[in-house]
Amino acid sequence: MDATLITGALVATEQAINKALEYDPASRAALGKLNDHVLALTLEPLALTVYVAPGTEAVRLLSHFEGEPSVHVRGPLPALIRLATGHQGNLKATGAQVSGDSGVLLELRSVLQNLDLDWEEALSQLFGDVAGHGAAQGLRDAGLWLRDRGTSSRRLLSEFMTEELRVLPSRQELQDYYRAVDDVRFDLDRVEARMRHLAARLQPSSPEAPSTRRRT
Amino acid sequence: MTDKKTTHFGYEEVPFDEKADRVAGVFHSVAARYDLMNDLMSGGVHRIWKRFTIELSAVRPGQRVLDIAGGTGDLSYQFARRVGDEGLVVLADINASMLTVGRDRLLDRGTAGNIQFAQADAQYLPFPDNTFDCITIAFGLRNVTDKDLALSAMLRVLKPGGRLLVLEFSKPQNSLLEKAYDVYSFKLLPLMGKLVTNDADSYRYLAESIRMHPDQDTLKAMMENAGFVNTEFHNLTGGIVALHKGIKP
Repeated sequence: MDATLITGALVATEQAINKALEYDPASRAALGKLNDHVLALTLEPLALTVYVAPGTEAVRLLSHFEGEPSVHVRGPLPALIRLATGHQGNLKATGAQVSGDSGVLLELRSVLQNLDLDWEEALSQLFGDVAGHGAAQGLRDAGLWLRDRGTSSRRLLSEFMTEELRVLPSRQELQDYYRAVDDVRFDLDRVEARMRHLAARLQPSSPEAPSTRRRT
Repeated sequence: MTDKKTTHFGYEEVPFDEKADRVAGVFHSVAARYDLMNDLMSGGVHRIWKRFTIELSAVRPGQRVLDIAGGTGDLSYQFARRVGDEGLVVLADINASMLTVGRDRLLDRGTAGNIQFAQADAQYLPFPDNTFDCITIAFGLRNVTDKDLALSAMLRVLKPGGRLLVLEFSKPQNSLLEKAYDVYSFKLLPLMGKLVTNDADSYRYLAESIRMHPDQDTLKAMMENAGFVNTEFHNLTGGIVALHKGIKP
C-alpha cells in the first residue's frame, strides 16, 4: 500500500484523537504517564503495523519506528476491537497475540475505555459559551429522550407480543412453567430414590432384605 | 566553438555557473507565497510526504540535524521539537529570501534555542566533518547545479552511521498516472502560478526541472557512488515523489 495513504490516514486519526483529548484532561494526564512507551499494532491480513506513542502533549501514530516497542499486539481487526473494547483480563480470549509488557496495553485500554469527553466545552469553543451551553443541553435532552423512548418501546413491544398476539408467554406463566418443571424433576428424583431403596431391599445379601431381617 | 560546461535549467541548457543565479531568481520570486502554492499544487499532500520523512529520520532527543534547502522550515520545526533542548537543528538554504521567510516563521511559532540558520550552498557545506546525525534535503536537490558534489559534501558532514534523506519529485510508476501528471504539471501548474504569484515562468520551471531530475534508480546509484551504503527509496503517491535514504558507513 502506498505510504502516502497510510501516513495520511494516520495523520487524520492522530489529529482526531488529539482534538478529542483536548476535552478530556484526565485521559491526557493518564497517557502522559506512558510517555516512554510505544505500542505496536499489527493488522495481520494486511501486514500493516502502526505504532502508538502516547505523550504528555499528544498521541503520535507512526507507520515507521526503529526502536523496540514496549508491547506488540498482532491479530485480525475483530480481535483487536475485542481487545480494545473488552473488559476481561484474559487477553488470550480476545484472539489477539500479545508480546512484551502487557501492563502498558492494559493501561492504554483503560484510558480508552474511560474516555470522558467534555462535549460542552468543545461546543462552547465552536459556538461561544451561551450557544454552546444551549447546544450541549439540547444534545443531553435529546439523548435522554431517545433513551426513554428506547426503554418504553421495548416495554410496549414486549406487552404487545405477550398480551395481544399471545405469541410469547408472560413472565408469570414462564415462572409457573419453570416451577412445574422443577416439581416434576423433584418427583422423579424421589421416585428414583424410592426404587433404588426397594431394589436394595430385594437383594438377598442386603442387610435390609426381608429374609434376613430379624423379627422382634 | 566553446567548451564551457553547461547544465539544465528546466528544459533549457545554461552555463554551469549560471544555474544557481537562475534558481535563486525563481525562489526570490515565489518565497512569500511558497507554502500557499505548495498546498495548492499538492492539495496539502506535501505535508504527508514531509511527515513520512520525519518518521524515517528516526531523530531522537539530543541529535544534530541539518535541513538543507529547508526553505520555509516545515521539517526544521518538527526536528526542533524532536531533538529537544540538548539537540540542534540547522536550517540551511542558499536563498536569502526563503531563509528569511523560514526563520521568521519558526521564531513566530516559538522555535528557538536549539535552532540555527545558515545561508549555505549544498555543494560546499560550511560545517566540519562528521557533524550531523541526520541530513534532509526536501525538494531541493533538483535545483542544485552539481548533485554529485552536493551528495559528497553531505556525506562529509554526516557522522558515521548518520543518515541522509532526500525527498524529491521522481518518476510516476504508472503510465496512466504519468500522463495525468504531465497534463497537470504543464497546463494547470503554470496557470495556478500565474493566478497566485503572478509568475507562470517559475512554475513552468518547476515542472520542467522535475522531468530533468534523475529517476529513483539513478538517484540511488548516485548516492552509492558518493559513498552512501544501505541505500533504499520509498515511492510516495505512485512515485510522483520518492524518499531516498542512505547511511554513511
